[in-house]
Amino acid sequence: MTSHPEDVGLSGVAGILPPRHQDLTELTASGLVSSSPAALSAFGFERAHLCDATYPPSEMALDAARAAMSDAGLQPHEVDVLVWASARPENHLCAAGPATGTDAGGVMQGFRYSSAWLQNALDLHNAEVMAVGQQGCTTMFAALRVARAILLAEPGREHALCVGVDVLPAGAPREILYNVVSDAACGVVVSRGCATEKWLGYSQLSRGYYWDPAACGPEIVAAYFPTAKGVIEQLLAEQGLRPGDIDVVVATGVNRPSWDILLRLVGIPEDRLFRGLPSFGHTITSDSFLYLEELRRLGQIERGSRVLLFTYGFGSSWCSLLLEH
Amino acid sequence: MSRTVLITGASGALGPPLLAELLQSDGIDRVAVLLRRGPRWDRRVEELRASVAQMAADAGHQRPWRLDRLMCVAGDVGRRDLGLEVREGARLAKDVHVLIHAAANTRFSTSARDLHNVNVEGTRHALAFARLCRVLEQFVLVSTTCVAGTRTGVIAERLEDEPDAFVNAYERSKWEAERLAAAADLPVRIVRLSTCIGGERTGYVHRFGAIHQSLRWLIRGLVPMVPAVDDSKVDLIATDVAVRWIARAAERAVDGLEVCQVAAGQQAIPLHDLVECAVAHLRRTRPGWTSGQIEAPAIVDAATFRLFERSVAQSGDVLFARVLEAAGSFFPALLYPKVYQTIRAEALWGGPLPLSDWRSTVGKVIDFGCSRQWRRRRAMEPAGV
Repeated sequence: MTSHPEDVGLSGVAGILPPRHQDLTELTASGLVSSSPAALSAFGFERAHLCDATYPPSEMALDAARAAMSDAGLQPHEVDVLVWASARPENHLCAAGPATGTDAGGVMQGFRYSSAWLQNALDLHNAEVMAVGQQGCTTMFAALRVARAILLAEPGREHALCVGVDVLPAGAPREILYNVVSDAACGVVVSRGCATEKWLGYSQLSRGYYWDPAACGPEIVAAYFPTAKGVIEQLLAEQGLRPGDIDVVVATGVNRPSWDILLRLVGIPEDRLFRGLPSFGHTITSDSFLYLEELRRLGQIERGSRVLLFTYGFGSSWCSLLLEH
Repeated sequence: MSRTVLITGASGALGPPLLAELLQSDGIDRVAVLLRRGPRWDRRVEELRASVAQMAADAGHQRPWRLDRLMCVAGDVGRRDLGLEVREGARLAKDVHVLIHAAANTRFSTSARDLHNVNVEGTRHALAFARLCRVLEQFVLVSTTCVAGTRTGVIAERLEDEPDAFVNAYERSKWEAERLAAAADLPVRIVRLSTCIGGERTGYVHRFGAIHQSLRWLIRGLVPMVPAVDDSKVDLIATDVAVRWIARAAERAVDGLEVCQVAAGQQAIPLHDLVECAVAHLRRTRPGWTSGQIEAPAIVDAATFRLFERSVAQSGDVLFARVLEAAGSFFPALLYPKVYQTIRAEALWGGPLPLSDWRSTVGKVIDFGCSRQWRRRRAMEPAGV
């Protein structure tokens, strides 16, 4: 397959899970989940991965970024843009190392940006740095979208590194709307003239009506399916495709029956769903890219295959992304 | 000739509109209402009378009608001789020409045993009392089109053998009640009513039922999907149609057994149209919908809906369990497409049934339900409580 200079694709993809994990019984004993282990198991969950002092979020972010750059064959000086993506506000601030200097009232602590720290830690000296947030589990999708837009708009930029990191506070509940939540990070390099995972289209529906997830959890659960169906159908229509034209659907780590239902709703055959990893839970920003990395590693899909990614994020936004492998 | 009608279940969904209609009738001089004996009897009588007056006003009845023709008697369909006091029972047995048995438990979540007790045994008691009525012209059993269970195709106006399956215990209990009535050796008219959505003029609903609960969940955006097959239709009628038909039937004697279906029949609404109509109305009137933030439910096949049901069951989610419980009253029926024949009902009516403009009625019922917060308001309370 030949690449066109105007093509934008994902040249590097990586997902990282912390090695430490707790199974459902341990999570229940720790009081970190509220549903029974049997119910969570029926939803396909087995464990939650957790960062700790031995493997802090900063290490995980570095590993994800390095792995993505390695996958893309990039050196640090070749990264033109760095986009940090975190759904939760505290993950936009760097927790690496103790606070230093004088900071009356702690105001300066709020400017210890994770994105800037990562640029420095990786020697991405040529990169312009920014961050995206406030899109829940779709935040990494927003990062990719911003990266692609920059590459298309500014011809001097070739490669954008997007790094998504989300870690729940220590001791925080690990169950959200019947999903077991893991800590994780991911890195994706978006490159101009890249024919792998070529960007074909993107569709998003944002519904601020559901802005407060604590107040409208049931409404969100109910809205999930019809809106997900709507956003995928919108993307297919924009691309002139039918459901059967999708070769692979990259799963997320949310509860498994929801994927079975969604595929039936949209009319995509269930054998197109890829979730070729043991259950790692739902990682907020990184699910799709953990699976996409594995899909690429296995090398079992043909060039030219159409790959669909879908995810939902609090806020609320429903996003679907279509790539050509 | 002075004619008396005795009604059971008059405080139910059909009660006040039916009473208002009967009190309009030239051929009926007295309407006796069996109200359950118990505390606050006077207040309940007062409320019923107020509801009937409200109904008559809402219906825009022009002809004079007299509330003094309405008489309430204490009783209980769950008891022998309808729980009437001996003297009262004897007086009614002497006077009643038409017994309309409308009392029923229509809560689908009720246990099969309780449904049987009210719907089957209650009918047995009503039939037993009817046998005592010396001038009885007919016993009207208010039944439901749901007795067809999981049958598909054309449903005739006749007694049917037991279907392969019923969707719920309520359907079975009503089917059993029909068999009892048919075997009673009395002049019996079984009227199978379709789902009565509400009043066609004001959207008034006296007692919210499962379909209204489902509308309520829909409005909150809590109904993610509706199961259906390609030709699923929803048979709905305005309450006015049902009560006007029953009132007319009360004036027409019956010989032996007659089964009539008061339903939309061929005019039943394609499910897609109904959902589209309700959603379009909500998008004009309700917060969240007007801004396009709430999506219409997806219409899905049975297997997909079962996956969703299973998922809800596995989660143990109480709210969604309630949503599914309300939806369970008619969602499953959408998977068994059928058309109710209405030939006999039309013959008695004297032409096509006076079906309302369903789009208008659905909108009015939604507005009415929202104005009442989908709770029953006592007739004497001010609106908006």
